[in-house]
Amino acid sequence: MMLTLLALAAQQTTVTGVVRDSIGLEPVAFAEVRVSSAGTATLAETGFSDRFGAFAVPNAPTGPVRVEASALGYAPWSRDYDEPPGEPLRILLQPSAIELDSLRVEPGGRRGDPISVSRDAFVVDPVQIRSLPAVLETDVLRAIAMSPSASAPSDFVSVPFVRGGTSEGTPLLLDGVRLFNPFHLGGFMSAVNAEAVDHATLLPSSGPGAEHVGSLSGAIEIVTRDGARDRHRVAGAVGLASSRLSVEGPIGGSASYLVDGRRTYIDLLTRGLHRVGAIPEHFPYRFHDLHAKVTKDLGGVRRLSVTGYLNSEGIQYEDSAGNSRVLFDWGNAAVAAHYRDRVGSRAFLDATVGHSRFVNDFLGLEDLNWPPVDTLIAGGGHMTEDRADVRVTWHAAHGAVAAGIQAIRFEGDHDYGWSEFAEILAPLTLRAAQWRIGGFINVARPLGGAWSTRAGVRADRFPGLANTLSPFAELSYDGSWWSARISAARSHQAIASLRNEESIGASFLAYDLMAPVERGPVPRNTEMSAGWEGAWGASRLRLDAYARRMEHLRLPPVVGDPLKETTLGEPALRMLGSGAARGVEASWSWARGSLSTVGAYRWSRATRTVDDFTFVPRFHRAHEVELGLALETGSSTWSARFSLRSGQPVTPLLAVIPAGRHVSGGSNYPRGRGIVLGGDYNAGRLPRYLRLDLGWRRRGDAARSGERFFAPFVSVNNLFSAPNVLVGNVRINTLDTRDGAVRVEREYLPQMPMLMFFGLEFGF
Amino acid sequence: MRKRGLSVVAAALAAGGCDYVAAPDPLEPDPDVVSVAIVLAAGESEAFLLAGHPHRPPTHPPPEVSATLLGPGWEAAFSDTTDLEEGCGGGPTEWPMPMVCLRAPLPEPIRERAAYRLDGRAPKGPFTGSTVVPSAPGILFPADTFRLSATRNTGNWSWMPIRYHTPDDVGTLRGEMLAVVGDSTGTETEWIRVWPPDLDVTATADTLYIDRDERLQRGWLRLVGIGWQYTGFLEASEKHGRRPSFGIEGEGVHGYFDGSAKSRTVHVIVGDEP
Repeated sequence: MMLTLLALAAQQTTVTGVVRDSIGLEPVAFAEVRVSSAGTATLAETGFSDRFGAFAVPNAPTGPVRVEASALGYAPWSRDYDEPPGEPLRILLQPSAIELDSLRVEPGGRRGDPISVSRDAFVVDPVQIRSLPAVLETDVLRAIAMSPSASAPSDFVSVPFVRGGTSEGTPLLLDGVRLFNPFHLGGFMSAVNAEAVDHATLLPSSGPGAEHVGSLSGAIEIVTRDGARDRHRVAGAVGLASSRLSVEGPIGGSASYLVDGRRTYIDLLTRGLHRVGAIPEHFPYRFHDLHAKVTKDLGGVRRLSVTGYLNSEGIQYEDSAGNSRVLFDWGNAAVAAHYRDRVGSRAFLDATVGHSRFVNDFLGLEDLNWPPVDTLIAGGGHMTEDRADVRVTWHAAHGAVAAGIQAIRFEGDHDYGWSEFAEILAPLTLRAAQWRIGGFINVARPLGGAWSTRAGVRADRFPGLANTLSPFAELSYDGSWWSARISAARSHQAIASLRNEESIGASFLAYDLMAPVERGPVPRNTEMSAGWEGAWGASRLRLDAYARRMEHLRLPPVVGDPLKETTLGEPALRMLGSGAARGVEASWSWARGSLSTVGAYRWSRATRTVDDFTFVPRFHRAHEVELGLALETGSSTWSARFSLRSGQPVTPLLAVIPAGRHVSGGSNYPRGRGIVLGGDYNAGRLPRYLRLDLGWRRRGDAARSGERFFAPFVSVNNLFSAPNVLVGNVRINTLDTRDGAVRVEREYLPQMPMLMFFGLEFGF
Repeated sequence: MRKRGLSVVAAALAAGGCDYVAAPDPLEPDPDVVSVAIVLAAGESEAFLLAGHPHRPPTHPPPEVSATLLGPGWEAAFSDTTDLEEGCGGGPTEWPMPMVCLRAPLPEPIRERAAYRLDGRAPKGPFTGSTVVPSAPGILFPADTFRLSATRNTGNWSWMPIRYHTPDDVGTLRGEMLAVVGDSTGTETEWIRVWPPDLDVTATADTLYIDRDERLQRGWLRLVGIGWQYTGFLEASEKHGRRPSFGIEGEGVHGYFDGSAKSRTVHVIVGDEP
């Protein structure tokens, strides 16, 4: 098929170029570029700009042509040419208010429609992120959780779990480099500054569109903005827990920079409140993150960008008597460089190198003097990934071919010699590294009529472990207003998590320690999916059904109570296990006038099997409904987010049964001993989850049009303080009197109560 | 087509609707649950069954339970109601619940390694049980007699080294001691406390601590081995995954059905050799 494509390509003209914002000169992704014969508009070919704004329209008509470009939030652009331009075009789109089928789009921004730009993904942009009530701050990961494919395991953890998989199978890539544990406050908020995000893509499948990632459960790809190239700009926000600031601007005529950072003042705030007696304890927690990006426009589609990222968190605690000290420090750093060039007239080359490192260092002493009386916790470690990735995307006359090679080295080094925080972290020592040398190729081409196909294969060599082959195939049909597809894929991943998702700690902490899989078989995912989507005017509906099986997972055995399970550690106890998930997802978007909505519904089933025991994992919810609404009135944007979810699994209570000693002489159970008998593991369901968040913000649309703005925001989470629960437990309260009954008390750990957040965003 | 799409969504929502309706709390204790505790003691010619409503106040009436024990070639009904302490004293009689102790006179003593079954009926329906009485544990040391020092080792405790053998079918191993206590006014017998409460069944030696006061004159100490169904029941709170059988099956009936067997006794004498 490739030879056929090459032969056909030699006879065609391909129009390439870059679509940019006319003010800041930033690339405009997902723009539609149409090349038509000037004489007859029916002879037209279409292409879409990628995340760097680059496009290629192969098979362009010969002779006089008209090139048209359009993107949501921009005025249409068109030019006529005597011949299809051979050199890359530079299309500058002007931000403009336009009406498209009743969809009102404001100048300076696309109204977020996460299902309109890619059939493979759920894509959120800053408009979508700001169209949801803020939880502490505007948060890119919480916006992604609007996808029906994603589900956050709790209110306290913003990291989405994808289609019955867990977080280690869904890497988060920032400008092409993997970030480990990219969040703050245990996972409550993402550590990627929303100010810097151009768009974030959730790839729910490991098949079409995600082949280059090579993971078990898709990926989250965050692309940061290039800095503005027209003038220097400053933007930021002051919030309850932290403030952030970004500075961007041109460097010479063809380069730009963007620097943004965030720093919390939880430590300063609680110290002050403690000093005046407002709170009993000072919470000495701090975090900051810093991101910088420099982009050089090398002309045409050629560009070079370098991204640097740093985040740090820590707790430094001394008790009031000076008797103990706990020092927790962790954070990560990453750097990535990306180069884009054109190869011939039809192909783009992308080369990325990156390095990412997560480090943690824990020390807790019972006494400040040396030697300490006791050690509460001691240990540390790191996770490192180095990667190099070269990819060529070739736009042929009838289809496209993408091929790439990758070299990735992951190292996990964990050494925790002692821990009294046994529910969170068990003592463990593990150091291992793993190379992954991979290559992939995929082909997309029309089959005739409205049918088309995509197929590809990824081959990986994990030295000393295994060689794997991960193919995928997809068949699609494009109707006039709808499309449908069916696909099958397999993927592999040789990194395993040390998390135990059955522990209650996993609902509060998103942090993960990962380790290379040192012995085969390599964890793998096999999935099938079918999808349908249609659009009518400003309404769009997408339906997906999937079934997947995850084999050779490393899982801890299920032995105990979620409240007693250790969240991280015990790699020696990991067993070969498997997982399965299937589900139906629906997502929709709609806009009319100043009202827009994005919604999702998901039904799914997920299981895990360890040691021949199959159970429903505790993070799973069978049904989830998410609905986001945004209404613009005057200079205000009102937003609401409604969540309705079925309860998480819990082991039902059969009975509390007393046990005797059955020997004579002195009972060790003075009031008897009650044995809590649970039913089938996780067979029960906690009460349903219901939450309504409301938000208001003054619109800051002036930011991108270069005007000064101040945009205060307020949000109320869980408006009715619905008593959502995270886990349930039974406790026996034995009374002292013989006449009193034993009270079986039910304890529920609550999710987030009603909370109000506010802040101010600004720019100039 | 639009209608069809909306219908699909509506159907899916309706199918999931029941999920959003408040369901019974799976952690709510069922007041009708019945607890059953039976440990057949090898060598005894009677069996006792303790039945109760563990989730009800003790002022409520006890559950109406009938049961029959099926031994090797015979059946014996739990036909008598006996005093709680006298009949089911080793059982969970300290638990504040309405309970009843049922007694079954047997045609022959309970045998070690013999299988027994149980057929019964509780308020929620029938229940069944099965167990195999374990083998008796062995005391390898001391021999027939052990002499405790007249002075206690520490506090109220005197200790005694012991070596023992635990058969594979014993999951719980405990010591018990019947003591003769007295002073110038006379003597009486009473069961006294032995520590540790459970001996390690994977070990072969330990030290037993005997809770005694100055009135102790002598006594008889032995080990009691109880089967794995009872042992598994004690660990059930910690096992949320696959759970072994505790010997009782039936709707709304939970508990354990197992057997126990005793070792030989060691005569414990207080005071130095004359």
